[in-house]
Amino acid sequence: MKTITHFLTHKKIRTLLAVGLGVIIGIFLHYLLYRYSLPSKPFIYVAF
Amino acid sequence: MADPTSISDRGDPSYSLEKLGNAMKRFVAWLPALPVLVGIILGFGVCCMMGRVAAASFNFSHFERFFGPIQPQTNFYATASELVSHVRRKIPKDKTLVLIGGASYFRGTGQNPDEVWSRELQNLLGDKYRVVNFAIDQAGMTDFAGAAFQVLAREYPHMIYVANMAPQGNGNDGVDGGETYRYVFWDAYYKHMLYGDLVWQADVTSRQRAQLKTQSGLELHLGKFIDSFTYACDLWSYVGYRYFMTVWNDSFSGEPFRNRRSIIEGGDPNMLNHQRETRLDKEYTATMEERNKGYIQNGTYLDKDGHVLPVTDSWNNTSKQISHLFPADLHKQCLIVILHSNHYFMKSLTPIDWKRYEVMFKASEEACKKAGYPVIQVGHDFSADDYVDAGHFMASGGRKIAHQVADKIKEMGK
Repeated sequence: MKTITHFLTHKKIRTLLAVGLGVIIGIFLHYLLYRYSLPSKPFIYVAF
Repeated sequence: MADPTSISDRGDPSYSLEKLGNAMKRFVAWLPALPVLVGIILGFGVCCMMGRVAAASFNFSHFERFFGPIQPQTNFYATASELVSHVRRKIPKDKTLVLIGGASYFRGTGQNPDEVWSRELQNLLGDKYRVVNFAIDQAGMTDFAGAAFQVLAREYPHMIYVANMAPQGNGNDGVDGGETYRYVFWDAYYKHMLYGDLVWQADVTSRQRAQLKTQSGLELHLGKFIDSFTYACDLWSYVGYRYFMTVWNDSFSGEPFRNRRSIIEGGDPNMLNHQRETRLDKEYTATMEERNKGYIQNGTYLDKDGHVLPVTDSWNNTSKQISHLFPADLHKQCLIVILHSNHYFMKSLTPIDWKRYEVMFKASEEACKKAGYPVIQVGHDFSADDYVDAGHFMASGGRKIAHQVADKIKEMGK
């Protein structure tokens, strides 16, 4: 436990969170390319 | 002193959203920019790689033929890579691959999955052959399966493509297919899976240029060009097929996320009822009679002596159009089956109309031969009971088609 807290400094947590957020955005952008190729409505259009 | 508006503000959804938005902004501002950028590139890059893996490993489970849940009509758009991958993974290269393309007549509409004609064809051809039915609703010869044929013919030393065609080539929308399935051709094209002779290339280029001038064409081509690098369509349709569907479709409103692999095509025990209902439907019968009568007026004329003759220019043009559908070196591997419609819905035809009918089918067969394709006519001797409606075949009709096609395929293999 001590090793983990030693490793996870404030700066590293920020960096990891930033990379994680970036990965999510990257996957989302990739998915958007697929969705834009389809002539169908997104779920949100149907829901509201 | 407390703000008198604070209590009502806390219950207001817009107040909560604003608070959440501010918290998010602070969180994002707190994160360093460069690692976010690295993460975006990493996430996007991994997806591109996974798309390539998905494209290469895709195969349909329990596949007999295409049906609603795995067709574009329900927002499932199988890519060219996926169609080809399915065949590569299922069919050994030392077998003679018989790929069925074309429309719902060959998909087997009117036949249940366990009695579909392609299954009978497999039984008749034996173990040396492997039959794959990629025919799909409202497709022409080059649509959908047609693109897969052009790719697979370069890989399988022995391959035959079988597709249905109406006389005069109606339903053939050109080298890249019709509007619904055109995406498969361009998917394969931009992934460099297709190649052909100079005539074929010129035809492809002219269609590409013409389509790029329209908004929908530009979207299609740009999308498929980008997809040839990102493989986004391959990855997310793979996810939709195997894990969870991410695209809404009204047909699946009860289970919108259900993966399409888990949906098995069921049988319909009421085919005979459908046949009966179709014949009793006066409006349908009248429409089909009128359509058939109108259709056979094309491509033939009556000379001054009352003989029915083909319009030579029209059939030469048809032959030229058909010859441009596939690269010339593939023509001999493409068996065109000219299907006859149900004569039950041709009761109003006069003797002259029947003569026109015969001349039209004969001229159509000659046009295909002239373009270098093997061709057979099927259905001219079928009974009304072999059809479920004006054009689709019951199981009995399907078996008859299978026999005639099997004989021709064996003859082509000699």
